[in-house]
Amino acid sequence: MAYDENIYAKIISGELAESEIQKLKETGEWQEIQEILKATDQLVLPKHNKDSAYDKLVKERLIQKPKFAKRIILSMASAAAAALVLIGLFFFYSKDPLSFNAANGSISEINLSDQSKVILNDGSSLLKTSEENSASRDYKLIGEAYFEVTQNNSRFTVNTQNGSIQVLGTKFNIRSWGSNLFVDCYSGKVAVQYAGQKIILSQMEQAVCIGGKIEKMNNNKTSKPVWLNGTSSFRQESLKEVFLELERQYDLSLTFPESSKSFTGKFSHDNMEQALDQICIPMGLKYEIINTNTVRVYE
Amino acid sequence: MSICKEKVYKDIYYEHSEYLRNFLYYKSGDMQTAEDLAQDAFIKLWENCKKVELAKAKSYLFTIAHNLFLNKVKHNKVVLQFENSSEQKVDNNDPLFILQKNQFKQQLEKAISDLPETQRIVYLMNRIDKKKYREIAEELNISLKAVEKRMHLALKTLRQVHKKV
Repeated sequence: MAYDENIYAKIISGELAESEIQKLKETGEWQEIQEILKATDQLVLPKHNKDSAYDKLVKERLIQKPKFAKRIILSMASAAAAALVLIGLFFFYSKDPLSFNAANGSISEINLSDQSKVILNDGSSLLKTSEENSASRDYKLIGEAYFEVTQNNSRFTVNTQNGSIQVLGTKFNIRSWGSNLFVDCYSGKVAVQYAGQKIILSQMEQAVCIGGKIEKMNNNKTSKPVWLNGTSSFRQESLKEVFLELERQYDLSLTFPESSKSFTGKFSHDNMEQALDQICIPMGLKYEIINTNTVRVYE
Repeated sequence: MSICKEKVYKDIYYEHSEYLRNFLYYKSGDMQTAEDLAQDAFIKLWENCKKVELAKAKSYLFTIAHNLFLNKVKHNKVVLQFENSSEQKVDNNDPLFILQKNQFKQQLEKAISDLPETQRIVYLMNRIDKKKYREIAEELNISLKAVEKRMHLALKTLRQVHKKV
């Protein structure tokens, strides 16, 4: 049989007999198809950023879960929380699960029923996973939050995608973006579990969990995380994470070059250009503000 | 191995999310729509994680994505745009050569965009996502013969681009 059914498809799957190939070559079809294939194979689509898309997905999942629940938008009392912008706090009323999230560019303060206080950094979500009257208080955190936990008889646990933190009445900060986990303890004690290891942090100690390793460090002099005062601070963090944080803080669409460099320093939350300078100048990068929420960083 | 386990679910995401997004892009011609619908399909998978067997997760995702697309997206004319692969060597700097090459790329993009949807999807899943006919058949829930047919017809049409330039 000289002409097989679906013969062009078989050029690709390599199912043609030598005689069939010969025949296609004589008519020039073989060469033309090869050229089309070659040209198509040079086309690519933009890379899909799986890490950030997955973080986003997990957040959307939390929000969509209590479909049946009544959604009440709490109007926040102004409170003494001076510099904090308390907007974007959504409270999904239902017995369980209970979830909270802070929109990009805003910080939310939550008072839990046991008198504990949680302040969610921008773009972060917190979900209550334990039953209403159970003996333990379990939460799931995506992103970053500061906790002031009141002591009572039940255990307080925060799970993140990277590890879990157990508490007995204390003040601490968790930062869990991408695959890195940072825990800062400001008073009392917390136990950090990460990649099968466990360490106990006391006041002014920090756990740095990167790439399966956990390291205890002395935490600086501050008594609260600096982001509560409108600054983001980094110690040896990958430049990519720094830009993702900038994106969340200013609710930007940011493009930046791939880089394996790490960044130590701070940027402020009240002036975008200044923040860009604070990151780009020491790293030898340039930037272009395309419009109020689109910025391109380049080398 | 339940999909309700975060780790299992995450593995599925890392393995298939890009392909699902691309599939939706071939259908819609709009990257934002494609990304949003791919996320929606994964949320649906999570909501139904108890009901879906692990082995069926992939075809479940493609079916859901297809349905979401039918229900949410108004059917516009598709205009696909691609980037050039960075591996591509510039072996000739002659401006005329580059111009012809770009023209050829544009003609090809247009011809691919104008293919009937079913042929366009099969052709691009094979060429861009490097999937074998058998995999495509499985994901789209069609026979191997149907995949070959669509591939053949796509190439038959695209051959004409070559003649024009």
